[in-house]
Amino acid sequence: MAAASTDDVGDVRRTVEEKPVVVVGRRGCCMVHVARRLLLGQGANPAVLEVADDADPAALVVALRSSSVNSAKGVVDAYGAAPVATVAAAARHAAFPAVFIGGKLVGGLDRLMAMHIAGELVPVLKQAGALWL
Amino acid sequence: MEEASSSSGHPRHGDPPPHHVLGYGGFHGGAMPNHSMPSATFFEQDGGGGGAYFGELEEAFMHQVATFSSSGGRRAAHQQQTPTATSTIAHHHGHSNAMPFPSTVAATATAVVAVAAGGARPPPTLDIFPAWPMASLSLHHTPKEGSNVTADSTDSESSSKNNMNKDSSDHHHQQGLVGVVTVASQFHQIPEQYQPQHHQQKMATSSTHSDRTGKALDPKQTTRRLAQNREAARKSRLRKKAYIQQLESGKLKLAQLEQDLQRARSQGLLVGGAPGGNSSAGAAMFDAEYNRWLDDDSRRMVELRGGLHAHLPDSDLRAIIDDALNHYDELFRLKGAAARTDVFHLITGMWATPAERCFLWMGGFRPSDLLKACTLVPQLDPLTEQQMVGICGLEQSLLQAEEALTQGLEQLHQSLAVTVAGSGCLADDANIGSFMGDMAVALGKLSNLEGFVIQADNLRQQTLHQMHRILTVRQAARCFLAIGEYHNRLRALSSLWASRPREILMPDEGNCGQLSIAAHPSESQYSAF
Repeated sequence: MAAASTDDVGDVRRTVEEKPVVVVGRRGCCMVHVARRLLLGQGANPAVLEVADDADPAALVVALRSSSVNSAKGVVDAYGAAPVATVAAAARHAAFPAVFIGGKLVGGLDRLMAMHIAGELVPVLKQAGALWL
Repeated sequence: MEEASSSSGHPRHGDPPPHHVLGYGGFHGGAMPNHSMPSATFFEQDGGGGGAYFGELEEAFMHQVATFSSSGGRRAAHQQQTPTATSTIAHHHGHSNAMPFPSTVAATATAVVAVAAGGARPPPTLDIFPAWPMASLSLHHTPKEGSNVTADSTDSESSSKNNMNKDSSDHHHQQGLVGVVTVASQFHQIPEQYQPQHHQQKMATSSTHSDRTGKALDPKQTTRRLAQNREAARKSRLRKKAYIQQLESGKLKLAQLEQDLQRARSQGLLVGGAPGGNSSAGAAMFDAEYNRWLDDDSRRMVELRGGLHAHLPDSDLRAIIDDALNHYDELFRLKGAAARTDVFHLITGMWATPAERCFLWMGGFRPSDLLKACTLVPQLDPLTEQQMVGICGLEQSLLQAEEALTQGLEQLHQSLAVTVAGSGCLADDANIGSFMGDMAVALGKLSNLEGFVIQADNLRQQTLHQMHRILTVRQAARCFLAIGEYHNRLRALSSLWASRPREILMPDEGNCGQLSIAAHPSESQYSAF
């Protein structure tokens, strides 16, 4: 599973739009590996995007939000019990690795884990067409 | 005889001897009959003049012998009959520090009496083997003393021989004196607690003193001086004893303080001891907070148990459970803060009891273990089908999540190992230069450990919340109680393990039997748990 490396926000946006599951993280970050393993275990095949070590997750979120992607609410919507209302709030919580499912920002690894434990991850993956099985 | 005279037996002049010399105390005392020392009474001298010490001693012995020969008893107040002499000396000496004195003095007395009383009838019952063992010598001696002592004895012998020449050349006297000196010299070999510098001084003084033949000295002066010396010696011995006792008690106190300090620090009562070791400021603080959390938790468990047994309405129970859940959230918040301060403390489990540490997973309990604690919960409040599915699903998800985190941590280990190993061979000198660079990279990677502990705690927190969501109020109450009890048992296991009686099997030398000894159980600092 090759991880693509990019410094361009446009690249990130394109990948997020195209692939059902995308994990964006810093190079060599172990948490990217964890997220990937978790998603693989569910039967999804996440695309991994590596950004520079000094990349700012908040900036990325804001940048992605600025161009409306995929839905009226934009990329910055997060799944889960506490939807993030504003871009600023999303930016505050933004961290690498950032997981996108179905073009929407899910959140960081802890959010992914919470969803998984709550049993919400698989339905979302299914809905995004990420599961092969 | 609390006397510390020189081994040559010469009186000291203003030099308080630090220790007492065994054999010669008796001699010394013997030379001064007018002195009030009890042992002096044995050797009574009939105004022996201010002669040299040995001169006086010689006379004293002669007199005593004469008294023995006669059916003496005239000076009953001052002297003892031979049969009881030894025991009396022993008795008197028993009061003093110098336990061997009775043996040496008694032996001396008997030897002298036997030698000097040439033609005199030796007393019928002579206690040659004293009651006090020679072994109870004082321990304060140096090997050097031996040589000094021998030198001293030869000198004293020579000086005493001078005395002999100066005094009457009575053969009898000489014999007695030689006997005295011979026996006396034997005592030189007994290790004395004796300081060399004093020794030399005594050597000087003794020779001058004997040369003077003491005609110029007043016996009373000498007596007083000897008494002063004895007093000084005794005082210095007592001082030394007191000092040693002080040192010992100080040592004990220090050990006690160190123990208290260690205990207090581990409980976080003293924030910030020396960093390093296994106790940093952050670690100590977390330990303190964790202990407080444990106390709070046990309180809540008691409340929960009481509520269950009292069959409180569900609304009340729910309030208690929500409170307990919040309390767990608080714990994970604490642990998160501790992970950022001192991740090693958390991940090595130094904050937990040994049994908990054994099952430690990423700085805490393994979430799937919680389900083990709750499997028997449904007995009284059975799970519905949906709940069963939910619980099974939870278990499945947990296993997957745990696996993902474990694999991520494993990857971190590998990466860290590669970084520490460096790019070249560590054995080559050239790689010393890459040390700082490698360390910098390794430090960066190490910081990922915090993330793992935080993610693991997040998993634990989510597990508890999910169980709370799936289960009914009563089921949740029992489940939380079970979780609390599970950890209590783990902590109790630690204590019991630490304090279990050990059996030491020692093979018997000759036979094939075995001797088992139950050793004292070891201390556990976690016994509080």
